[in-house]
Amino acid sequence: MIVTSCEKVAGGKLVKLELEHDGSRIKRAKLTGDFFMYPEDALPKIENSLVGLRISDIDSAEVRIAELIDSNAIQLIGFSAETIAKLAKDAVGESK
Amino acid sequence: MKWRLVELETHKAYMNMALDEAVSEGVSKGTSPPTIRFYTWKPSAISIGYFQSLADEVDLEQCIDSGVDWVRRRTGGGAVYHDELGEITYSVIAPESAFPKDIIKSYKLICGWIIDGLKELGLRAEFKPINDIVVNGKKISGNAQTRRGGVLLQHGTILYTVDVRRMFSLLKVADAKISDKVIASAEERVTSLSDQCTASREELYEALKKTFSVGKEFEKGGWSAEELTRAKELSNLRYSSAEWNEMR
Repeated sequence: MIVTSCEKVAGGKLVKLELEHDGSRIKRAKLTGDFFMYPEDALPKIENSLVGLRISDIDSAEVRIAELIDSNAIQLIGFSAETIAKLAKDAVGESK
Repeated sequence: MKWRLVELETHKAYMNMALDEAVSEGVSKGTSPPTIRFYTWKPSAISIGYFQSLADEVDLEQCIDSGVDWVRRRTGGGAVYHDELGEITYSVIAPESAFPKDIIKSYKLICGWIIDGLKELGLRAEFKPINDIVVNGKKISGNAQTRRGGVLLQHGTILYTVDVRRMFSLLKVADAKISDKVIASAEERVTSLSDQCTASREELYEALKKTFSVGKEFEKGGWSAEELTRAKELSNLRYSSAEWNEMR
């Protein structure tokens, strides 16, 4: 199943998350939008950090992404780990 | 630091983005000087941010019908309609070490050169974080920056004229229908030089050239053979390819 969620961050950027899941785990994640990220090549790492995550563990997404951002010195401009985690939760919630 | 100033040129979208990358590579290797360039787009084109979905942002059929190209940038940010006659685009390409480490501060610094240019024409413009410049609260310039290989590339546009209806016919706006209300709302948020004063595009260019180069050691120059060869290669292999433009 493919689900999406989108948010325009107040004072920030538009972020859209598309997730594919099988009802149990996330199989694929795609993050798009008019945001900035440095380095840009870090995007697949963030997307992959959601892959394999159990739908029932979706609340752990924020910590998972925040740790990845910290350990890889990734800078997000116009959104945050919290934004992505909220989008993941909203997207999965829509499909329940 | 000695800068090279490349005067206003007109290229296709692919070549414009390819030149930015070829020079960035050259600056990284030490074979190209720090560069400020001004350019326009022919034919008119849409550029989308590195992280955007082409299918979500651009009405490709409408672009084809209107003879408008599209290209994915190396920089983040949003989709921009580059009208052949309606704007001036600039790029600043230099070692990252020459700019504040803080991204927003570096945007503010370079956007300050545009603000000074607009001031020359009698306009009071302000930097609006993250990456915009506004006049009377309306956006007149959008900017985008990347830092790779120790090189900062910032490019952006300064609107000379704006046709919101045409822009929206090419971009996919959130509201699928381009209602008069949506147009009116966008017209309230976007402005251009010709909306604000009587200065010509040439006067805008001269003002920008002055304020981008003031206080810097610079010389006017063109592209090296190596830069042009690499840019043509990048234009053909990357920027005009579906693989690049449709990657998200």
